[in-house]
Amino acid sequence: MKGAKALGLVIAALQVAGLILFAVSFHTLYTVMSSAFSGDAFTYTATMDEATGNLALRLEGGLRNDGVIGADLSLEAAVLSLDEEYVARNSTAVHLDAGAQRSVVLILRIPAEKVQQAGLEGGGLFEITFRIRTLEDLVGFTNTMRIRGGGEE
Amino acid sequence: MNRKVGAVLNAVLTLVAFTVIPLILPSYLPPDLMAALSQGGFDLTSFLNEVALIGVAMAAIALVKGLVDESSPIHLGVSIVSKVFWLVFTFTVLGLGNLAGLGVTTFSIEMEEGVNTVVFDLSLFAYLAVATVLLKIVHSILEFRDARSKAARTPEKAAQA
Repeated sequence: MKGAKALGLVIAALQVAGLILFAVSFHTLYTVMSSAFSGDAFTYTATMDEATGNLALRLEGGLRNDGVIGADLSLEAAVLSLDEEYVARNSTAVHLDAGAQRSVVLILRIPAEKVQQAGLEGGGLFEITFRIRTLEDLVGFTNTMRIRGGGEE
Repeated sequence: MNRKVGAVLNAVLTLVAFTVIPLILPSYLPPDLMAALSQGGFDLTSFLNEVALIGVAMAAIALVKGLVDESSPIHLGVSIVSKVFWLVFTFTVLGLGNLAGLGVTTFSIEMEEGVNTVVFDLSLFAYLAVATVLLKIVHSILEFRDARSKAARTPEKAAQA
């Protein structure tokens, strides 16, 4: 009788802890996600060095964690050729404590020969991956956007 | 008598919460939201139908569980089955209809200018649900043993079992 009651209490505690962890981690993911995807959070600029022909893509933005636990965010940017081969890739990671705000800058440099080799003037693909993990890396959200470039007519 | 009324009430409440509400929910949701979810590769109607089906099974189990004697092996069996159904329900909800995902859900949204892929990793809660259900099964066995020994001490209850 005592064993069943004690186990019942353990189960109830486990369920309550699970619900609290779910609410806390989901709230943290949601707030970081909202700050990352709000309209003016990130800016993207592409600059071509006229002398060398090298291309630099710069992704810059501010992130905020209004949740109650810390979160790790990694940002990865990549450029792919039209036949979906990676031409250039770079990533960065930041830790956001609860209530913290940080800015993130990611620069992707593509040498001139790769720009031509992959035919990026004709379009190419731009891939951005946001990876947000919280609760000691146990809960996470990943968003990968693969956008077709316009190219030069 | 009270136990039977409780069993029926429990079954009706389970049916309303897990079957009736999921089935009528789409008619109350804005069509724009339904279209957006559908565009995101998420079939809400199919997901809610799955939940409703599990709800029917859970209501039937709740009814049988409430009607049979606690010291009966049928009660133990039904109790274990109900825990397993609860686990199936949890996996279905965490995986948004994808039972095999074990808490990991992936969506791909095709847009005019590309593809947007979203992955939710809630597998921690799937594992927590497995641990809870295993403990609940052990709890059911302990309760069954207690009910059996209690029934053995009461002659008329022992006769029923």
